Amino acid sequence: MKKETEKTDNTEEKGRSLEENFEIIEDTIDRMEDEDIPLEEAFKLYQKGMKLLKECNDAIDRVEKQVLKLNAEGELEEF
Amino acid sequence: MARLYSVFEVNSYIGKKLSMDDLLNRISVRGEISNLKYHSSGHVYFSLKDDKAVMACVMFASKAAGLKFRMKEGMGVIVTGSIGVYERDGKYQLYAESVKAEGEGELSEAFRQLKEKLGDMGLFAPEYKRPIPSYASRIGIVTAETGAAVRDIINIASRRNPYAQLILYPAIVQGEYAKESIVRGIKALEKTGVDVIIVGRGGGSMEDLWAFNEEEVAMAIFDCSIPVISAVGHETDFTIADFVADLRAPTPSAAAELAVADVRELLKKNETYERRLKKRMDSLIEMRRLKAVKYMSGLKVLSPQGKLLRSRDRAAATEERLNALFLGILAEKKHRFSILLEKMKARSPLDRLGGGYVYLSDEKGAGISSVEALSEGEKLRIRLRDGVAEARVEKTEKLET
Repeated sequence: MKKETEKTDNTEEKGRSLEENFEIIEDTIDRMEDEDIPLEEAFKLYQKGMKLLKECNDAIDRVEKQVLKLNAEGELEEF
Repeated sequence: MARLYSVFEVNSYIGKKLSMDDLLNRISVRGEISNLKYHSSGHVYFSLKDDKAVMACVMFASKAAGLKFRMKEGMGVIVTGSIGVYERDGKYQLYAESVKAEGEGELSEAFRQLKEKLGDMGLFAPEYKRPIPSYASRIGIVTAETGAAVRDIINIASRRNPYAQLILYPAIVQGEYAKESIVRGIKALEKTGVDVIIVGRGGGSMEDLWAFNEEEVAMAIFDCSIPVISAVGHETDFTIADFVADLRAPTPSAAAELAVADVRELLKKNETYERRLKKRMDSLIEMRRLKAVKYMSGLKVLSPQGKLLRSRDRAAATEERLNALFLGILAEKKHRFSILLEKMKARSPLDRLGGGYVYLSDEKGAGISSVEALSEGEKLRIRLRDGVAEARVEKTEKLET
């Protein structure tokens, strides 16, 4: 049962947009605002946040793109 | 007797006569629509009237298809066509080629009507608007391959985020084939799975922008599963596409800004989050450390070592107090002693010596208080007030008392 939930979590993670990731990071930091949060949990949140930030960073592939054009055959070619 | 004609022959004759008249062959007539009937065959039957007269009109389906708007009772129009005779009924009528709305103009009328129709269908309702993604990485563009619009979009998009992928569908954006081309473009880009689609063109006359007022284009935008930003003409141009799109951009340049996030801001945002996250973690750790320090000092107070230290401190303090007490007592005793000494001095026998009194003692200094203790020849010490004399006993005699 637990494994299944983890699995869906993972697939969701893959399809998340940058803004959804930012929202989760925002929420993560908010949850860390609680001073009484157990340190272990804070560490987990921190690691999760850092992982998401890395994902966001990786989502920007830093490769400059050529403009593409859809031709009549529905194929992509350089513009 | 003159020749007899059939009714049909007469009607045909009149019809031929009329058809040879240049004016009646191509004529524009102004009037108001009445008795309007859209027939299921596609033909439109109506009357054209003014305050003095009425004329029957028909617009066949092939011509009616070119109508950009739907005619309405009482609408002021200019009908262009030819006058002909309907031989069966012996009636002449106006065969309409085109109908223009008078006053506002036909395009304005068509625009108003389509807007009303689609509005009633709910196509402009805010609940159908899809949110434009804040960080689109693939952007579809439906516009002309050449011209200012595509250049502006590419320039601004690649300046804001050179890592974003732009995919252009080169569309025909004005004229006869424009609406089909734009619709195909939206559908083709939808299939490529871009994050957002910009549909538009640069400025022009209302006729130039007309394709974006077509129902087919509006429906394609509405049906598109990917958010669509409309970008038609200038800021002052409003098209049906603008109303149905998920977001209206005033110009193609603005559309590029709305569709493409500035990558520098994105990276900055990322850094800010990272800094906040680290700072928060650090402060959580620091808070725990301070707490630990506090607990540790608390523990120290409670530990046996602490007790010992405190007992030692107390012992030292007690010792000090005792010392002080003792010194106090001593001082008091000294004081009392000196008083006693004064008193004793006052009562000293030496002071009483003189006036004939002496203190008599034997050689060893022991006091003599009876003659019985004395023997003849014994040495005596006589203490006077200001010195000592030695004497010898010559004779003793006990007196009766």
